[in-house]
Amino acid sequence: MKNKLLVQAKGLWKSYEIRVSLFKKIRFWALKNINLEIKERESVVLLGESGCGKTTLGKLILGIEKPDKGHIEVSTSVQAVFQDPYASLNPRMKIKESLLEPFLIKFRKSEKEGLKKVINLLREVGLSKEVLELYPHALSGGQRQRVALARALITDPGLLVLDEPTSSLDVSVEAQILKVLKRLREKTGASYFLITHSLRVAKALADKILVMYMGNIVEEFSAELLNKTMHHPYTQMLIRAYPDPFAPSPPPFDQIKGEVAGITEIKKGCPFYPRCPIKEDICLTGSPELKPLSRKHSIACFLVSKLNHLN
Amino acid sequence: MSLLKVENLSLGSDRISIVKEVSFVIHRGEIYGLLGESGSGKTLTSLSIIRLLPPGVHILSGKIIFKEIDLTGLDEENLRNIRGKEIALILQDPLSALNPVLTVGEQIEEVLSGNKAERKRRAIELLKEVGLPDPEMRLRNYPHELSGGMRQRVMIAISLARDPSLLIADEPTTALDLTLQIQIMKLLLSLNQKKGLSILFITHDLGVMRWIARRVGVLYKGFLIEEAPVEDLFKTPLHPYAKELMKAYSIEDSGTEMRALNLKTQEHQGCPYLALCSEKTEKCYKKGVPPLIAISPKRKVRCWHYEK
Repeated sequence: MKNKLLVQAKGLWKSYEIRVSLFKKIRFWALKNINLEIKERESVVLLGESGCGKTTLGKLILGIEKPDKGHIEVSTSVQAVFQDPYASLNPRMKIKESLLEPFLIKFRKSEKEGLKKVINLLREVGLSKEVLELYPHALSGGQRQRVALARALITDPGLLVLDEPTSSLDVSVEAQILKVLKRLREKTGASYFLITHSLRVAKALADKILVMYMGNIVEEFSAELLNKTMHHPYTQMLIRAYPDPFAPSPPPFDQIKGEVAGITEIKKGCPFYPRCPIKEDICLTGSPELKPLSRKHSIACFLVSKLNHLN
Repeated sequence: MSLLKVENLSLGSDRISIVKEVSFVIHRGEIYGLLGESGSGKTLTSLSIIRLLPPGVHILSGKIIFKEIDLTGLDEENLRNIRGKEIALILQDPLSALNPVLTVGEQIEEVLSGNKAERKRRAIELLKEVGLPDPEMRLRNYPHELSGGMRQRVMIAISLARDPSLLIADEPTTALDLTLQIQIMKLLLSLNQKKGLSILFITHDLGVMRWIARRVGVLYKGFLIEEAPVEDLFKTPLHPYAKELMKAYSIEDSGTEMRALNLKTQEHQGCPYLALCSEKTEKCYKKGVPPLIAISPKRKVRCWHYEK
């Protein structure tokens, strides 16, 4: 099965200037040499902790930000759903207006046709048409996120950028939204670029998982390989740090150490060096590049030969 | 032996009650967990213990007995001797809980007694205890110079300064990354084991709850709907809501997709979970809230199905 490429990014670099004191500014690289491909009907998950640059990459795909270096080509229409549905819906617009507006701008069709599609989509995301006449404040967080999702889908985008779409929701509501996302992907054939810090969410929706650490993609693998192959030491740490309530034994509290270096204390060498449990001198010689192990798996680590299977 | 005993506690405003007849006991040296989703009343319950309730919310009825003293009957002045000294509190967002214009050292020393040198020595000791690297240097830092994980460690250090016997931890790991969350969990567990610190741990995260608490109470719409030792709760939840919560967590087999449809929340006088329950039968429509039924000495559940 050959699927068309929707997004192709090569060697993306993006930096921000940060003022560290009154007279001193430093350049902080939020993204370093990122290569990315998103195919038609593919769901790519970007996994990383706060401050690693994952939202910046989402913004580059959406065209909200431009890269400093490198090239990104997006050959489809893109829509976005953000973390906070309280902030992404206009409080003064009825749900009907919020949903109709993008439709009328894009398709230049009548309001009646628009309304038909709106009602259809609301049903798809699990809302009844009662909500049309309501304002966002009358809805719960989960219901608002469903509206945001319906609004993103109303222009038939080829790609949805989902930036932490469930992190502000309760567990039971999160499960519902993830199910809706899953079903809609099958139905509309849209590709997803999902940004998350949650391994659980990644597992639920990913075809391909990218793991990001301090602006670098440190591992890229097919979702079915999760836990079934060797992983980058950082990915391993993330997997171990996840407290699975149904695991037979507690998470290994002693094996997770350290935290991300502050932006003012970035040193040479592998970005994960200070926290890495298997580091050696070679790791200080530069930043390792992402190298393919197989067609479905790449790791950026100098010590690939020493990585073990997790279990 | 019990350290804290909450008996039939109801909280709310003059018109509505938000927390309804909640009872639980925290034994000395125990980590007790309150599990619930947003709006379930878990934070209000914990804040009521040291009476830090938001304006308009007050204790409607019930008792909060801490070391044989009923805290609900104490006046502000006596309560001040309990807050911080006997019962300390840490919150979800350490940045808003710390004072941005005071250094870490000033904020810790503020709660200590003794002369300057003594206070400084003790502050360093506390920072060491919570695992903050280079404590001497950190004393001079302002909160914004610290990472989220470090800030939470500073908060914990301040809360330990007066050597309290109970720590209320309200979602202390929720704002943290996965790899930091587990380190804070480890710290709280070791404080519990080494110093015998009792902890009331509040979270909506099943994974965190499973590996930190010893006994757990599940809150739903202000009612305690189940209480059990943590292993039992996760292995065999009894209340339909608890079961649904466990299923939702493992996303794959959750059957709840279309459930949040009801825009109108019906005010039913009976079981609080009736509208969403997938196991309801005729007897569930009975009038009145089901009682908290003791299934075994250690397990309780608020569901008509378990009525004998």
